[in-house]
Parts: sequence; C-alpha cells; structure tokens
Amino acid sequence: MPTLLSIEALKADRRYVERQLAEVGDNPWATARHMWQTRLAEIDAQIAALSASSSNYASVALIFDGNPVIGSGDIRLDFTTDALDSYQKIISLALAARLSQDDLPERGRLPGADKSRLFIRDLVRGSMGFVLEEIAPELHEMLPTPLKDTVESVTQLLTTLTDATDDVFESTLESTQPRVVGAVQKFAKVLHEAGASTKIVGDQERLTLSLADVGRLSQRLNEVEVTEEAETVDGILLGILPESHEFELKPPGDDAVTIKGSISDDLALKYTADAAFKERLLLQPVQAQIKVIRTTRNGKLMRERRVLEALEPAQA
Amino acid sequence: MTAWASAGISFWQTEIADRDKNKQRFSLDTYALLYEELTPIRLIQGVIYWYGLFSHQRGTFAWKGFLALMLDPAGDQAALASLGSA
Repeated sequence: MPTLLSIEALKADRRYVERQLAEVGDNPWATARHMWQTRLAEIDAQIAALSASSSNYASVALIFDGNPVIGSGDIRLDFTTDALDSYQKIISLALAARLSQDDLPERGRLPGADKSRLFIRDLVRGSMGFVLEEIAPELHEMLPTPLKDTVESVTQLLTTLTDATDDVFESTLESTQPRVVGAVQKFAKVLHEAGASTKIVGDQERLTLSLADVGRLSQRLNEVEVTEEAETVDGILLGILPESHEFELKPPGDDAVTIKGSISDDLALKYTADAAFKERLLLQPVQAQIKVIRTTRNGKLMRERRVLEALEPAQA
Repeated sequence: MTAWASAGISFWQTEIADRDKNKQRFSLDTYALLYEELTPIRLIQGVIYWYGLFSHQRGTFAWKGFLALMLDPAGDQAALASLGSA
C-alpha cells in the first residue's frame, strides 16, 4: 500500500477520533476521554512511523471516478485497461528516458523495459482504485530503485503539466522527451474521452485530477505537436563521442554554425567497432543523415533535437 | 477486584486501560470504557467505530474475528485452576 494512501486513511481516522474527543461529555471517571486519547496517541504514532519509513520499491495507487465508475465497486473494463496501459507506458518511457542519454528510439525495445513493469497488487477499498507495485527481488535493494524514483517523478510531471503557468508548462515540455509527452497525451485523452477523474497517490507524491483538471491537461497537450524530419547535410565531421553519444559537424562556409546533437545507438556501435569507418570519416567531408525532432505548441517551437543516424564520405 | 474497588480511577488508568503496559504484558491492543458513561447513541457510534477498526485488516480487508468474554472473578479462579492442573 502506498505510504501516502495509508497516511490519508489514518488522518481520516484521526479526524473522527478528534471529533469524539471534542464531543465527549464531562464525567468524573472520564473513561471515554481516556479511551479516545489513547486511540489518538496510537494513530499519531502510526502516522509518525509511516512518515519516517520509506520503501525502496515503487508503489502507487490509481483511483478513478466519474462516468466509467459505478458506485464504489464497478468500473468499465475497456476504460480500465486503456487507463492502466497508458499509465504503464508513461512509466516505461520515463524510466527509459532516465536511463538513456539520447532521444528514445521511435520503436523497438526500450532501455530498462524489463525493470519498468508494475503489477496490480491490490484494490483500493471504498473507492475504485488499483494499487500498482513493483515486485521486490529476493536480494533487497539498499537504495530506491529507478522504477520507484520514476513513478514519483511522473506524478510530479503530471502535476506540473496540469497546474503550472504557461511558461513553466513550456519549459517542462522542453526538458521532457517527446515520447514521454506523447504517452502523457494518450493518458489524458483516455481520461478526458471517458469523462473520468483520477487520484494518483504514491509514497511521496500525490495528485488529484478533477474533471476540469483532466480537461485542461488534455487541451494543453493537444496543442503540442511532435514532428520528425530527415535531413541530409554535407560538412566536415569534427568529432563523435560514442560514450556520451554526441557529434559535431561543420557545414561548408566560414559563417556556417557547427551542428551539434546526439547519435543513434547503431552509429555509435559502428563507430567504435569499425576502425576503417572512423578513419574514412573523421575530419573528412561527409554526407550526414540527421533526424530533426521538433516539439511545437500552437506553432511555437519548444524543443529541437538532432540525432545523427548515418554517415558516408562525401561524393567527390 | 479488590484493587479496583479501593484504587478506583487510578487502577483503571494504570492497569485496565493502560494500552502500552497491556501491550507489553499481554500482547493486547487495549481500549477500555465504562459503558454507563455513554448515552445510547454514543455507545452505538463507538461500537460502529471499533467494529470497523477491528473487523478487518486496513490494508488487505481480510476479515478478523471477535470474541466476547465476561470478566467474572469466579470464572477467573476456575480458569486458573484448570490451567494449573493442565
């Protein structure tokens, strides 16, 4: 059970006990007062213990309300699968982005894919929600796992994208991988189209998205567009850093600005494994195939990244 | 019972309803109340609260059980005698 959800339940309990204490009448024996005071002390001790404790594994509750939910016990299957699947995709992509130094590949296996899986551990009682957790390995981790950090940071990201001013929203988009933004777009669309609200409660971060919040997040993200364009550029290859996946290319002309960006995994591998390939290209005129990934909002450029995908010697 | 009759409220607070001491001595979560102190509606509210708290585990909703025992000094003696002879 996510820590914040347990604390939330204890705080509700605390409010009830405080009300009983306030309403308890005067009595020379005052056993009722003593009983509620004892109970209050126990609740406070439990809250303090939970606040001080910290699990190293991911645990998050997704609680849904709105049109897909009937009462507190039924929820539409198609909505649930879409919502949980799109949430898992955000987590997988955000973890991959955390582990990768480059823009994420358009398709294919993501870095850390096997470590990003969440499992439905339990249902949240009294409302329609799911407790999602990572399976702890037999050898316990001494530090929070990357998945735990990712789950908490995704809740933070969703909060920022929903609540922040336009300036902060745009700077957040600039620093977020386009595929992660796309996954958040899909999650918001699933909620918005179903008329659902949600609450996401983890160990450290929590977020409530009302119907109005979901509408605002969905609309904001609908204004965001990610495009990719392939460019062929001639120039001198100044260098490639295969470890940090970076390149520099100087186009012809004294005034031309050096192009910088990241390189694809395939090219990094070829560059390190094939010495002849490196000899033929380094500080030589080359023709480069570069993918330009642009993130725009209402036509305004938010983020532009260049990924060098292929190189060949320039045609004589 | 003698202590209860002579010491009154202090015996209540330091023996019967001292949760920490009882936890240590008997491994029991103890909350005690003289029901004569309450109006019927308060008594019902209390029963609802404690039933909700102790009927199941908070995290898993797994059901737990209840056992009602009459505190009867004569019964205590009979129980002690049985335990002693076991």
